[in-house]
This record gives sequence, C-alpha cells and structure tokens, in this order.
Amino acid sequence: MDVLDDEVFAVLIALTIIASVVGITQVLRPEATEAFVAIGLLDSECRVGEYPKEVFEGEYVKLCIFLYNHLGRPQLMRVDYKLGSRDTLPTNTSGSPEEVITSFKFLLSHGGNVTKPISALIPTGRGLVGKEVAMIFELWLYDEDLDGWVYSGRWVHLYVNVREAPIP
Amino acid sequence: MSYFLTLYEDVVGLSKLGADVSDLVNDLSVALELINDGSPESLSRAQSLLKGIELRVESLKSRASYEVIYVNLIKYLTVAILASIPIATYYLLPRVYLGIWFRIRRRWVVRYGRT
Repeated sequence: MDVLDDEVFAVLIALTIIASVVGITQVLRPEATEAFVAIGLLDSECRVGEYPKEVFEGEYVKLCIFLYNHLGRPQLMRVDYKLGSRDTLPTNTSGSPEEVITSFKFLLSHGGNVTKPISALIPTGRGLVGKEVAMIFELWLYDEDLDGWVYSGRWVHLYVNVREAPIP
Repeated sequence: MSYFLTLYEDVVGLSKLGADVSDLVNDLSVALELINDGSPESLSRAQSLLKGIELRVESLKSRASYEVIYVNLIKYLTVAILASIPIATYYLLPRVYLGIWFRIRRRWVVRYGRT
C-alpha cells in the first residue's frame, strides 16, 4: 500500500524548494537594488492638492516637503529653496542658476522618509510683483568622499503669481 | 556643523560595514534639527547630544568587526536553515506522515473474511 502518493510527495518537495530559494534570495539580496532618492512638494496641510496660486511679496508661504532615502545607507540631504522662472528651472544634471534663499537639512536612514512643514519667503524688492515665478526646491546630497554637497538631479517647483503685499 | 559632519561620516562608514546604526541616525537627526533651529539653547543641547553620540560611535567602532561578523553569521545561518528545509522535508515528511497515519488508525481492527 502506498501511504504517501509519489506525485503528491514530489509536488510538496518542489514547493519547499521554491519557498527555500525565494527565502534565500530575500536574505542575500542587497538592501537597495536600485538606489534612489525622492522629493515631493505638498500643500500647507501636507497633502497633495491645495497649492497656492497667488502669493504676496514678503509672505512666508507654508508648504510641506517630502523626502525619501533609498540609497542603502543613511544620507544627509539639503533642500535648497530658490525663486526662478520658466527659463531658470533646474535640469536632471544641474541646479537652477538662481541664488539660494533658504536651505533645509535632513538626515534620513535607508528606507526613511520625512514630511516636514516649511515656510518659504517671497522676498521683497526684487521686482517680482505681477510676475509668475517658480518656487524651486532642489535636493542636494552630502558626499562624504568629496566633503561637499552634490546635486541629486531631483527637484520640484510650483508656479505662483506674486502680488503686492496688502497695506496692513 | 563640522562636528556633526565628522560624526555623520563615521556613522555612514559604520553603516557601510554592516553595523546597525539606526539609533545613532535618529539621534543625529534630532541634533541636526536643533542645529537648524539655531538658538543658543538648541545649539547647546545639540552639542551635548553630539558628545553622547561620539562616545557611542567610538564604542561601536571598537566592536565593529565583531558586529559585522555577528551580522554575517546570522545572515548565513538563516541561509543554511532555509537551504536545509527541502532536505529535511524529503527525509522527515514521509516518516512524520506515516507516524500520523498509524496514530489515526491505531484503534482500527483488522478482520479477515466477509463482513
């Protein structure tokens, strides 16, 4: 009498081999198979949606910055805030030529993310009133080998119309 | 900031070796927020926090090689256990199955002839 059918036994062994191989690959695979970082811009409630369309000169615009680290190691990050136009947007290889207004620094472990409320100033006296400007947020990474900051190629921007500050 | 960067570089170096630096990164992140705040009170708190982190980094550095060996040992032990599961199943499953099969049928009575 054949208590344990040979074919059933073979299927069970095949299943355990597959499960074992999948488990081993999960244990041996590197932490970050595809290294990348990400930056996102959220509204003042830290949600995707109600972005300001008009801002006042001298106003601190409340927004949220989202960052994610998938480099396989802790990473010190810096978000540079600049004001530019359609002609001075960053590219994948270089940052915007505009001057930095404010910087925000963050340290994230591998797989870590942060959603941080920020206040971005619309500076006065730069002839921005009545113009459409781009609020640019560039992501820079600290390179410990170079002892300096390197542009990550990631940025986000938001177009706003600048209006004259209301008389208090 | 240079003190912070020195410690950050040490922590990244330890992380690349395979040491668990998650607690250190969390504390460094808190120190960075205090430095960003910039007030004298926050900077003083950041300084004392960084001193504590430096001690822990030095301690971790001194036992980093053991830590790496331990992490690798756990990793390859897990691989060995996973690899042995099909072999163990091949040898043990028929025995276990038979044991259960007989246990379930131990009260059975075998009779010969017609019922």
